[in-house]
Amino acid sequence: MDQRELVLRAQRGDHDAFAVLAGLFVARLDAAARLILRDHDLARDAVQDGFIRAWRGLPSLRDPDRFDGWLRSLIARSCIDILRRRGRRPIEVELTSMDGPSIDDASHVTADRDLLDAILRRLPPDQRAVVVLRYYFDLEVPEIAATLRIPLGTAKSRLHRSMGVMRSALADIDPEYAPLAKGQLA
Amino acid sequence: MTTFERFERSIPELMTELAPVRVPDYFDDMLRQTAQHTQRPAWSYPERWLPVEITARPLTSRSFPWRPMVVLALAALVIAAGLVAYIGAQPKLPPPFGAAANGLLLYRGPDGSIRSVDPRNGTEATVAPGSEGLGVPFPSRDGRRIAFIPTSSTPAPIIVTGIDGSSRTSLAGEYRNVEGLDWSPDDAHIAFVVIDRGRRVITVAAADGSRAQILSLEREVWQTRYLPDGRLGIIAAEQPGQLCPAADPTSAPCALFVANPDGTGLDRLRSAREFNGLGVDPSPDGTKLLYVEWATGAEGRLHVFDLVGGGDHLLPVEGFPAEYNINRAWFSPDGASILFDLFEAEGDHWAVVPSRGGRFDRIGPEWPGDAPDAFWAPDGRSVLARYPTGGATSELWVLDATGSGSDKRLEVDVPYLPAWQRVGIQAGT
Repeated sequence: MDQRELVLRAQRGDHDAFAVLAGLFVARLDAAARLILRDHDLARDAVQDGFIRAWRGLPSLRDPDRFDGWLRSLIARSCIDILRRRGRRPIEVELTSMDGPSIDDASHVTADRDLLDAILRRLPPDQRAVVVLRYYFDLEVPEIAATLRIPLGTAKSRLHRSMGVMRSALADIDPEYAPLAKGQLA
Repeated sequence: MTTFERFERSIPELMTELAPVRVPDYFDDMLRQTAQHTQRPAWSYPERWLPVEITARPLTSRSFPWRPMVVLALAALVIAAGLVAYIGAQPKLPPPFGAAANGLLLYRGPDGSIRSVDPRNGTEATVAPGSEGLGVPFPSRDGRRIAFIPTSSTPAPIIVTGIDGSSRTSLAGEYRNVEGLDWSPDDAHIAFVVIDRGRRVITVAAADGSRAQILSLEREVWQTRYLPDGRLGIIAAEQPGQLCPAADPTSAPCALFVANPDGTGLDRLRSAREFNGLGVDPSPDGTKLLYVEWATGAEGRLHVFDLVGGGDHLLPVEGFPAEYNINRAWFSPDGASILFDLFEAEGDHWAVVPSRGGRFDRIGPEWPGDAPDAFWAPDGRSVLARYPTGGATSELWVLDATGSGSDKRLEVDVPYLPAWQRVGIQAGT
């Protein structure tokens, strides 16, 4: 049975079909939620909340072929809602220079991974969601805007600012890196 | 390859390392929870992103419960009577342009009812029940009529009524997914964008229901707005046959044009290479077009195109932070100021700047969440702003735009930013 047929069945109340669909997508969406929320328990809450909304709202999905994008949108917005409800602020992590350059590839990757983790924690949830959608799901900006149901310009702005945070963070780490010139004039 | 470029390319892989993909241990429990919920029937959802068809068949009028509209009209008259003197003191602009008195806020509730809010005290009223099947209300420039944008899943007419519910008229044709509805300066026509045979086009319909016309521009349109002289400002594909997709006009060959209201005389003002605008707003005196430029290295900047002299310039604004973006901007009703959204590192705000440039002022609270919406009050002294706060909740504010800081929150939860009725203006003189 293909995915479209599963969606159509689930829309008619077939929970077993919905369970199969959930199994196809839950792993990656759970990972995305953990990237956005940086907290396993919050990610669980967001994913569960998102799937409940998906089950309840599935009859409203007009195009069954858009199920995966629609589901992704529910989870992403659920992540943002959870953080807002909890009044969370991004965990401020001081980006200090890493301990010396390493010629070991594994060590370098570990440093980059930790750096990304620190950058994600520094970003506010709105920007974090945009970054995850851009790099984890490889979505273009219009798709990001549609996923989060925000104006195109808002998505552009959040991604643009996230890039600025990343560049600044890298500049803190790599003294030879020249960040984009600041002081853009009106 | 720079350090950042190397890092950026590795982000997808790094993300997979940070959050390995695996079926979570709560999966079975999650399915048990979902199974305990019942599905909402499809008919209970408002339709979105629907494929659009246009039919040319005009509809007959139907009866309409006008009595609730009488209440609306009387309330609007009371408000207008209290503010006529203020309007008379403002700089004169060709009616119906310029500042007006603030009428009622109008919106369509989740149950399909048409509702009003008195911004002076937050008092709500139902002016038409959901059973009437009216769409999203959009008042005319003179505040005397309302156009209702259809929201049904099947093609439906755009209904126009008097402010008291009388003279119900269906515009020629039936439409879905109507965007960017704009009343003509004399309120005799309504222009809007719809999808026709897979391409976005401008339709201009007579407000009396007599006829409708798809403008033959031979290219895809992104947005259109009426200029005070009746011409149309248009963002559209630069060449015939090209696309200017709604998804992201700044990354497509979209150019800035003006045209006659019947679509003839298409005149390109800015080429696709020169123009990367997210939207366009005409000044009330008809001499300028305001837009937000989005180009690499200049993301989100206020630009003004001079319709008289033909020049384009970056609006000179003082005091911007080192890093910022702007997405949307509009002239005030009297043309003296510009409202815009300011994205900055320390928190996003709505902001106001004189239309000639200068120092700007942030107005209202820092945005509590995503995608707030705002627009000028008819009197140009305040801004109506809706801030989503998570889930389906929001805050509705009337923000002071004059610098006195007397912002007021309305204790009403609305699903989107209401339209603000203009009163006390005579059209077409």
